Amino acid sequence: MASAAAYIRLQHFYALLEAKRNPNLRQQPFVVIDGSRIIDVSPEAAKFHITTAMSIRQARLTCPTLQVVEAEADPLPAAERFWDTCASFSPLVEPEGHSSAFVGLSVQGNLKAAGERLMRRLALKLAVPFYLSIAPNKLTAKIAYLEAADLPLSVSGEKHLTWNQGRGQSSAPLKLNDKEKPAVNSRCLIIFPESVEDFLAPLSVNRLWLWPDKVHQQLQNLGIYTIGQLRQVPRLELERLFGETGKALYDAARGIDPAPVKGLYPPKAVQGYFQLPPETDGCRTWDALVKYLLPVLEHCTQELQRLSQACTRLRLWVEYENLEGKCWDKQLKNELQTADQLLLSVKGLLDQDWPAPITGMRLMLMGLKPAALGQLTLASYLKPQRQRKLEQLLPSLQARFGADRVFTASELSIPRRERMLQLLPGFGDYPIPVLGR
Amino acid sequence: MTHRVNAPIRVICRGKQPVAFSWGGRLYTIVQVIDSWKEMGEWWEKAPEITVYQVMTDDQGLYELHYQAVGRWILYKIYD
Repeated sequence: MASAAAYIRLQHFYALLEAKRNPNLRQQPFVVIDGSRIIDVSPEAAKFHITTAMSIRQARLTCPTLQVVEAEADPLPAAERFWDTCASFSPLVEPEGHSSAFVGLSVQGNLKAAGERLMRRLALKLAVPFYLSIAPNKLTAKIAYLEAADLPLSVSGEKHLTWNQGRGQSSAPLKLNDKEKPAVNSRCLIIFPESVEDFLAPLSVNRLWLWPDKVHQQLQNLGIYTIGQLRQVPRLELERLFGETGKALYDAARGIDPAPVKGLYPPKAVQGYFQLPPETDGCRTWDALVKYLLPVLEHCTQELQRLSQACTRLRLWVEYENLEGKCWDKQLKNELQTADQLLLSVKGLLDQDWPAPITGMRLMLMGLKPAALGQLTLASYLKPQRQRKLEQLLPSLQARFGADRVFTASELSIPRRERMLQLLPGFGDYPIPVLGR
Repeated sequence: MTHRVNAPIRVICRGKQPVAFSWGGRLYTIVQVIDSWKEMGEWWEKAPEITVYQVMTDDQGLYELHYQAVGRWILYKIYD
């Protein structure tokens, strides 16, 4: 087996979301803006060569009938469906944005065949056009995407490309049946491990997306314009010029990226559920429901407290008798950590009349963040328990308030006054009046 | 992509965590447990609770192992 990284990016994601929300936009050239910046263009606007790099004025000049739409649709539900699709291929899914993700692949046999299989499955599962690039690591996979995205549209039937050597050499279209063909303009680009260096050599150093433009500019000021030229620079020289970044640039020029694809999706969550047996009547009243719901909530809150976390997002699935289930997804204003708080939130969601008796419920506590627990709750514990509890809590408190603000007494190795002088700049600059000699 | 196997396997554990498993006459060493969770089926039908482990082996393979409460390990699927 060999590991590979796939980079998948949906095209026109925000534009299609807005078109779904407002059907009048379908088949129209329009751009989606966030403030004064274009964040996406519709497929029809893309035909006019309008890109996200343009200003609104430039875009309007290019296409006089262009509509400008403020981004209003919530992208998260659609993004989660996309990430769920990715998660069905691999447990290693690292979302990059709402419309893009890295997927860690474990490839058995031929990489090209694996790429074709992945392309087919994606084409069946995703309703929107997408880019897929596969390479030995994340760095090369995203560079491959950037290259594929810059390619001019080719004629129909030649839009699904695989590259196995260098830029445009030995490219061959993937063979897909008509049924399996993805939406127009979906593209696949595979960089084989043995051809990574050849692929990267002619590309501009601007393609090294892991580093900011400032580094690209510095490289160009030194006369290094392509990744191939960067490869010629000795390691020590790069280290002298760029420090730690120089070491990473040396590796990147050879297509080496040690960062693995992390399994960040689905995010960590605490879950609990109940489901009544088929022969049991469903819950018709809130009191009847609480009998089943309360143990679930207590289990969830115990788990939250064990992890020293609080939840900021609540997802609730409810199953009704002989009816389709319903799902709520709520971003919470306040952090929740106790069963009472959760019960109130669930009651708030189920406030309306129920269409049928409830037969099951699944609760997912998401958006976990370190909980802010008061010091007073610790005071009631006996000393060893308190210390153990404090050791458990300390990392989360430091994550929340900063390690320089939360520390234990044993870390105080300097006298209190000196520490105060360090913490409060300006304090101690003035002579302290001495009273009563 | 996944390939369902659903075959019983032998697993070596340290504590409750799997560290290696043998399948098809080969020993696979687990280098990372990517995720694990519990799943309960139709409990009123006495379906056993299972613990699911998504693991990465030393040869970069990605596998899903199931541990059934009765003490049985299953190689459920391979991500390939």
